[in-house]
Amino acid sequence: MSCKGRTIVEGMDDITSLGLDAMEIQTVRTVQPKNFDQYWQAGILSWNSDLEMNLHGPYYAELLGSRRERNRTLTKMEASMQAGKIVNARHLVYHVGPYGEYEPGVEANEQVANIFAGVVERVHQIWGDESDEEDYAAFPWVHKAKPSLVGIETSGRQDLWGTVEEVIEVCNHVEGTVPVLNMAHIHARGHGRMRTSEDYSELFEQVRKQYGGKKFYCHFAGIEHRMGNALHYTQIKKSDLKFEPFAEFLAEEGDWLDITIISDSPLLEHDAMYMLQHYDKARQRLLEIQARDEMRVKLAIEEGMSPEELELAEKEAAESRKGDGAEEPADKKKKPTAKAAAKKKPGKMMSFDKKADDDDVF
Amino acid sequence: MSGSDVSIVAFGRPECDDAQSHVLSTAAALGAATRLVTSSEDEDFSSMDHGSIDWRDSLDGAHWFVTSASTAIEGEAARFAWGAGMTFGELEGVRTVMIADLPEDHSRLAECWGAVIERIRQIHVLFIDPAALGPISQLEGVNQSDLLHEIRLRGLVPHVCTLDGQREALIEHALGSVRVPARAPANPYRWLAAFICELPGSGLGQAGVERAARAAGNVDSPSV
Repeated sequence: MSCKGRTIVEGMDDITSLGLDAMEIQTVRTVQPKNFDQYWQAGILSWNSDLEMNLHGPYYAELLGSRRERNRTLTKMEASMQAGKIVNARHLVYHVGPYGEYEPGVEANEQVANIFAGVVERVHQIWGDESDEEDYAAFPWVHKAKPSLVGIETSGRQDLWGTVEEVIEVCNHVEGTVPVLNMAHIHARGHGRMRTSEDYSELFEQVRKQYGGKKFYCHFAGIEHRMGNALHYTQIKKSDLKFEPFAEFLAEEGDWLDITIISDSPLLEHDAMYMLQHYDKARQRLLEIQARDEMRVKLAIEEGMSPEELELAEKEAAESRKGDGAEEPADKKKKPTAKAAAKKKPGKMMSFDKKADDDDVF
Repeated sequence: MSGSDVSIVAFGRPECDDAQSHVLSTAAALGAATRLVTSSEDEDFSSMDHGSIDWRDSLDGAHWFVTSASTAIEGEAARFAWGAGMTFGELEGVRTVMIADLPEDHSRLAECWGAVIERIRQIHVLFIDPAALGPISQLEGVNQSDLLHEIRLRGLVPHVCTLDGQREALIEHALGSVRVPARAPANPYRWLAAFICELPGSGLGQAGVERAARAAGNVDSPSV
């Protein structure tokens, strides 16, 4: 979650009180010296709490541009690397920018890998400066914490470097870098590909297989897109990129993941809470299903059946119910069947409906 | 839809001497329903009680929320209200029009522009004051001629527009670029007011933006 409008420390307070536990600070161009006091305070707060701080580099980069463009971008990145140390950032997130004169492919990826190897080296230099030992005695993370990981973000336009495959390839070649999966970008660039929980499952499986590890850093926001290009960020509710399937995937299959999701929606806190609520709902649904299954096993034991036998009996009962319906005259069948199906569905997993009905005084 | 069907809310100084107030007064002369949200009479704008503004009520039914970059540096309280207005606008479906103008103290442009960039995702129409074009392109390290396009691409702002010296309106938008004549914009904010009055009813896509821009360029400066 990025905090905008107020001070970083106030933002951290807000985030903690909302029950969230990660924050991403956006650096605009250069980090103003007057902000450094705030950054140190943020670093101390982060070190003394479980709030994970992260930092987003310049909002636009031209790392594949001309030497002048590249150097200009690197200068902006240097400021964010310095700030990253001060706020104890766990991730520094960067874009690569347009392909420039490169064609998508090996050559462009090699160039990006070379640049990021230099960036990682510079981050390690900044963090590992022994002359800082005394100067920064009050800021223990400078010596004790590991240097920030350098996150390479996927892009949302066809003319920008940063498909999932490109990002993974570079991250595989440069130690100290991690892929940053911007779901809105992946969705836009893939012509609206993130629609179901299976789509998320496929994506994380791809990253797990090709990159490895279980730690993931993601961005999520609503997006308007066209022809494989992101047009405009929007709040999640208004986008065709829904969070529910992602929440479903996380609840059902996400146990192996150590994932940080950053809201980069126009409604930062609002949508961060929206996501948290949907994740909780998905977890709740999953727990209900699990409880239902446990109950089924329990009841099967009580009835002296194995769960498999119970399942078989349930299937037979369901088929006989269907069969009963089929025997009814066509004109009679229409409405009541629809209603019955609607009524029965929630109780479908139980073969003990009848018993319950018998006890039902109504 | 004509100007009379459009509702515009602005946040700015009570003296009505800022860019957004110029836009508001022109829009009102074109028939739009307008409202200025500002500090109350007994308080200073820079230290206003920003929590007392009922944004939901103020923005109710509005098409546009207009404010300016220089308002962001008017003081802490004003900046909180400035940010809250945009956030509530986003929540309520009101689109934000941001005027990137030059602050009185030109040396604070980087601060103003930085505040705009931080909120770029909440902005739907970014109008760059012709006087600020040069300094902002310098700040961004981009040629003046490419600035609008670059900002549009970088920030994914739906409409980035300005008036250039040849009295042409330039609009970079999600589906392309538009360059149309703007007849006599003695004050560029008049053009902006006419543009946002026309835009909601001008139709979709490139043609819609062009229609609104042409209509805005043809509007005789109303007496305000």
